[in-house]
Amino acid sequence: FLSAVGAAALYLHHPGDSHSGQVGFLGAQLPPEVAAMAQLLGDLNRSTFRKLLKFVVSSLQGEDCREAVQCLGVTANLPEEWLGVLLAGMHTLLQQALHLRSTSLKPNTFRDQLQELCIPQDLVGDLASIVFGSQRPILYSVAQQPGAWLPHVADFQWWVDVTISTSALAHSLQLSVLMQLKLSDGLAYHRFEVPIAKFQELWYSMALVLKEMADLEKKCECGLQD
Amino acid sequence: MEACSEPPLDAKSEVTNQLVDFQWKLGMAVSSDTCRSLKYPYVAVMLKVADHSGQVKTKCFEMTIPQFQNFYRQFKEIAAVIETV
Repeated sequence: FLSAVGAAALYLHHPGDSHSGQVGFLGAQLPPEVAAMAQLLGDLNRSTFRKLLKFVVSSLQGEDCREAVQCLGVTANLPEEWLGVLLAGMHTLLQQALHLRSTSLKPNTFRDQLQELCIPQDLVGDLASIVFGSQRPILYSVAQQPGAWLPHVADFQWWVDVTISTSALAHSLQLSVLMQLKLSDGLAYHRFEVPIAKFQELWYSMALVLKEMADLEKKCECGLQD
Repeated sequence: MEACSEPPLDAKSEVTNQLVDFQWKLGMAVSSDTCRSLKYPYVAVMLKVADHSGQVKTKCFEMTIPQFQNFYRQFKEIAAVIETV
């Protein structure tokens, strides 16, 4: 099909529709999760859709929305399977759209391609406002990872252990904190012990960062100097 | 990100790595090759972990502000557990 259009271009000025022969922003093959999501959108409560969209946007920025999503599933009476399909589809759709430089994906093309998937008009508007709205710069940069960005935390677990006694000491009652970290750039888990004194230092550091963040937020509100 | 209810290791294996240093940086990305005008705050962390032989390895990673707040909440829980034990 593509080569026929290509050949026709030798003979005709505008061979067919502008979309024919062009690969959409979702790729040559429509991701199955996007197709599955599109099928569920017709009957979906609009307010539920908008809440789900908010979760996907937060998740793209690294927030953990699992609890909130579960709550929504219960209050909106959505089976978990549907939740999975909707979220996966929306996530892929947004991520694909956000991957492209703003010069290559125009709002009209985006809307047209979504309508071709039979996504309802009003929902197309919501999706377009995310991809081309004020949040685009941040979402676009986060979608580019890796790049000029360090890996992020993929998984973090911890345990607090008490050693009751050892072969060396009968009653030691020693506390230790164990941490297990997986980064987004690798499969290996990094496991290490954090001595209690070190943990207190860490804990103090984190409280300090939190304070610095709050100060930074205040500065942002007043407008950062160029 | 949640605490696991099972111990991660059996009696035979031991966690021999120890955290020796923790460095952090709070930054704001203002511009990049992909986006000219950004206002993107992030926390970059460098962990130094020593193995049983003393060799130190560094791990660097970044967190968005919501991710960092979640990380902080985990530490708050650990601190609470340490208090009560």
